[in-house]
Order: sequence, then structure tokens, then C-alpha cells
Amino acid sequence: MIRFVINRFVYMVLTMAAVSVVAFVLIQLPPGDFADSYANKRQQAGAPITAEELDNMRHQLGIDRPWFVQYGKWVSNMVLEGDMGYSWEWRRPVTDLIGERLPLTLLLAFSTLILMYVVAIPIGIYSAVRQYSATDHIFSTVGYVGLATPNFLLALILMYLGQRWFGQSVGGLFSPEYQDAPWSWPRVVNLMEHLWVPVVVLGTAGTAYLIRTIRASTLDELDKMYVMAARAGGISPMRLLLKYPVRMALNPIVATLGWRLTYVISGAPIVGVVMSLPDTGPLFLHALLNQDMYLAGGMVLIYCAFTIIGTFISDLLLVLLDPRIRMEGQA
Amino acid sequence: MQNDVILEVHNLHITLDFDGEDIPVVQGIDFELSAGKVLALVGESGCGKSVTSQALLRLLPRELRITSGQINFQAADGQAPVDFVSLAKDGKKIREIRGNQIAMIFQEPMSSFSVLHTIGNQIGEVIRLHLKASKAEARALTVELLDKVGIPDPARAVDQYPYEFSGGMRQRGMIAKALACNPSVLIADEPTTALDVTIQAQVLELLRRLKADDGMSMIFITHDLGVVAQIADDVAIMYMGRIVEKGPVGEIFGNPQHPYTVSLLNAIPRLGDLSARRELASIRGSVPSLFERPPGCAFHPRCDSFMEKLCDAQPPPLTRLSPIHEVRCFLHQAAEKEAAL
Repeated sequence: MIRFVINRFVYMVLTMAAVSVVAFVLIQLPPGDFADSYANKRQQAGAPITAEELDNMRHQLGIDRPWFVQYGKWVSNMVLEGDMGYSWEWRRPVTDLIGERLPLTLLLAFSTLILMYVVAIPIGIYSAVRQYSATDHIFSTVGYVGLATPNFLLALILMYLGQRWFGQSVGGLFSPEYQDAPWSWPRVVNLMEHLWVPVVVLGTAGTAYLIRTIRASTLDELDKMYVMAARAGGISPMRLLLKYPVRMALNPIVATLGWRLTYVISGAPIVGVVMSLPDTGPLFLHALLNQDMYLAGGMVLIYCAFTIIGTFISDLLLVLLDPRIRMEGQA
Repeated sequence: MQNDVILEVHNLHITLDFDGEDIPVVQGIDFELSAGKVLALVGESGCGKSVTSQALLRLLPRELRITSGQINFQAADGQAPVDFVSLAKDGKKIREIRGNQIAMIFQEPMSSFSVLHTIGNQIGEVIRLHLKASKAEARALTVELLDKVGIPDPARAVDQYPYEFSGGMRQRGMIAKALACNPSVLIADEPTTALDVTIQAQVLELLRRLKADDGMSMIFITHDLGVVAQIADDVAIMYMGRIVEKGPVGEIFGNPQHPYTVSLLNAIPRLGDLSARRELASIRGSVPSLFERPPGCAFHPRCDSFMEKLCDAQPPPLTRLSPIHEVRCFLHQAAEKEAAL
């Protein structure tokens, strides 16, 4: 078991290293750089800069050097000093910018994940056990609608409804009076009052998808021979359901926890922009638009890190859940 | 119910719900199981023998339904017989019988255990449920059971997972689970079909010992007449949801009367055939699907003794050739009439 964990951990670090290269290269791919986009802005503002100034700027920022030199510097600073570079756009260290907003992103992501699983698992199992019942059809219909509705549209609808019926400003995560207030109990309450909207928006499609998956995998298991064999032993229907088919059906759900985490986090930027949330989503989008490369690179890296960590957690959970995988790990 | 009969099936009908349409699968079968005897239900795939065996404990999957009939069980404690058909499908009453007074083993030992739980957990579950035993007691009893069915190193096996067992070991494990509460009836649905020949012989020997030593009554579902000859006392031959011939094993093998039984027996390859270079006999055609059930006697399109406007007109009634030998075939009804004249 310990060997398995160490093994996976090493893979995780290697993957992370590979991802960092890809992230860096990707960000360099679009034509132009931060200097160009800065020059553009100056142009539009009516104060164009000269070619010489532009070259100077490039030299100062270090973007006139080959990509691997830039990459090497970026990574060594990050690993050795925890410095993820400097955001030219914001004129602040990337770590500070991300650090401010990351906790809210995480809160949003984990609340969404919890909501998805808490809602989807019982409904999925129920729909499977009562296949083709009226309730199953209702859940399926609602589920398909949920699956098909784009996040941003749902966000707009909820914001409109919130405004119209509750007189509540549902954009953002805080009411104006708590926006910059220090942390206090009323601020937490205020956060919770706002949080449910983006959580619902982010979670709806995922929940609908999860319900379908759980329903299908439970249905698969219900017809298996071992379920009948266990029934033939006299075990009660509820215990039977939970001990055997459900336990089995949850394996693929647990296995994909990592992807779902990514799905939630990568779905967040659009919703974040629409609902003007103070999380990392809008920050990321702007960084990409302005070719603020260290900020964008840092964000990509962090999103990837979540995927990798999520997969790592999935792997560990699967090992705990499935003895067959446990054996492979030991072999 | 007769004195020594412990399980009696009377006029059992089972239908398959196919998109709202009721397709008959089992069409009124009758049989009795006497204490300490082994009754073999024999037939080709799709004749309804497995479905019948599952219906006995009300284990049928959702799409299959008992539409009429009785399954009367006489418990050992001398109480009045219970009709399982009248009980709620997964209700408390039938659950107290499952695994406790009547146990069942299945065709596929590979898939009859959950892969996520240890063998000991799955056997112990039955013990703790019915015998109200503690975890430790259940474990001790499980080790004993595993030993009894011939699993080597049972103290280690109890903590192993099914995938660490071979097919034969798993079937032994299933048998151990079935024996856990000392049932009075064991239903074995093709328990040896999925095993290789040597393992088959070992498992069969184990079941035979249970019958001889413990006086266990069994309903043995199989398509293998060789197996029947080795273990059964009585045989019921099934074809498309009906029992076409029924009697003691010696009578059925020595004096088969239904053309289907005769062809089945002829289709058994014999060692002598090899040297004589005789061709392997087979039954013409194949079993029709449930959706294309031939009218009258379902066997008539494959029967060499087919009589037009008789066999395809209506199902043959039951003819009692002797107090112990029954057949459903117009050939014998005709003979009976002649004898009466």
C-alpha cells in the first residue's frame, strides 16, 4: 500500500513537470506577446509607443529570450522560492493574485462537488431500482434538461429570477457591504447566501450527468448473478442493494472524481465572468486575453494540479474500495 | 401433501414480460421432491428449467412473473405447509426460508460471489442472518464449512477474495454458503456446467456425499444426462416450459417413452461409438424461441413420430403409464385408449 502511494506520488510529480512544459508552450503559442497587446492598448488610447520602447520592454520582461530559457527561470523560481512570476497586467506577484482568489474557487468547487454527489447518488440509485417508474421518468427528464442547459444561461436565468422575486443581487459572492469587510460571522452567512447560486449553476449539468451514470451502472449490477446469489441467502432488499450492487456501481463514480473536480473548476471561469464572482475564473480569462503570461501560466498549472491531485485521490480511493486493484498494487 | 414430500410444485405458470406482452415461459408444471431424494430437472437451454429453479425461492428477475400455481413447502418443524406463491416477493417470510431452510447454488461460480467482499464475509453473512451468530462465531463456522467442502487451508481461504479462488474452489465456496444453515433442500442450478470435467466430477462427488451422509434433498437442474445418472433418484424431462416425461431415474433411462427423452438418450455419445465409427446422433432442428412456440405439442416439429392434426392441434394431456411414470405424448394416449377397448 505504502509502495503504491509512493509510486503514484512519483508519477504525479512527473506528470506535473510534463504539464508545466505544455502549459508554458501553450501560452506562448498565440501570435504576439504581452508587449504587443500593451502596444495595442496604447495605440487605442491614442498614445502609441515606439518600436525602440517596445524592444526595451521586451528585454526588461525577458520575453526576447528563447522559450526554454524563460521556462527554466520560471520553473526554478517556482520550485526554489515559491515565486510564480510577476503579473505585468496587475503589477503584482502571481502568487499574491492567485492566493487571494484561490480559496473562494476551492470553496465553490468543493461545495459544487459535494452537492453533485449528495444529490446524484441517491437519485441515481432510486431511478435504477424503480426503473421506468413515474419518478424515474421525471428525474430523467429534469436530468436531460439540466444536462442540456449551458451554464451561463442558467446563471443568467437564476440571476434574473433572484433579482425579480427575491430582490437579491445574486451576482458576486458578497453583498456590497461585506465586499471588502474583514472575515466575521455575518460575512460567512452572507457568503453562504450567495454561494448557492453559482453552486447550483456549476453543479446542475454535472449532477444530471452523474445521475445518468449511477443509474446505468447500478442497473448493470442489479441483474448480475451475484446479486441473485446474495438474495438467495435471505438478506433484506435494502441491505442487499447497498452492500452489493451500489457498492459496485460506485466504483466508476469514485474513479472519475478527479475528472469531475477538473470539470467543475474549468467550468467556473465562464460562470465566474457572468456572475462576476471574485474567484480565479475572471482572473484567468483576463490573463489569457492580455497575454499576461506568468499569471496565465500559473493558473493553467494550478488547474492542472487539481486534475492530477484529483486523479491521485481517485486512485487511492479505488485501492481502498476494490480488492482487485489493491492486489495489483502489491504485485 | 404426501407424507415424505417436502417441496411440491403444482401447475406453476411463469411468463416473461416482453414490452408489455406476456410470453409464457413455464406452462403448468408439477413435481414433488421427497425428503432425502434428488430430483433432476433436465432439458436443453431455454426449456425453462433455470427459471423454474429461481421461481422456487421467488428469486425471479423483474421481467419474469409467476402467474399461477403453487409452491408448497413442508418445513422440518412439522408446521402446516407454506405456499411460496402466496408470500410477498422479497418479504420477511420468504427471506427467512432463503439460505436457511432452502439454499441454492448457481451455474456460474465465477459470478456468484461479489468480487469486492471476502469469501468469509459472504458466507458469514448468511450465518449471522439466520443463526443470529456473532462475527467470531460466524467466522469459526465458515472455516468449518470450507473445510467440509474440501477447500484446502480454510483458515486462510476465509479471508480471501473470490478472484483468488479457481472456478472449482468457488463452486465449493458456494456449496459451503448453501450448507451454512443446514437447509433441508438444496437447489442446484447447473452446478457443474461451467467447470472442467475433472472438477465437475469432484463437485458432483461432494454433492453425492451430502446426499448420502446428511440426507439432503436436492433439486438438480442440468442438461447433462450423464450427471443425472450419477446423482438423481427421479427425473423430470422439460421441453419448452412443460414437463414431458417424469419418473424414477432407472425407469426413464431404461424405458423412455417420450420421443424427446428417447432422442436425448440417443444423443449421449458412448465410448463404443468411436470404434464402431457410428455417427453421433442428434435431435433434428433446434429449440424454437419463446416467441415462436409451436402449437400443440411444442416438440412436434422435431419429432419423428409426428402425427398430423393431432400433435400440432393441442397440447397432449398427461398419461400415467404406471404409478411412478408419467408422459405427455399422444402416442401413449392412443395406446392407453386401445388398452381400454
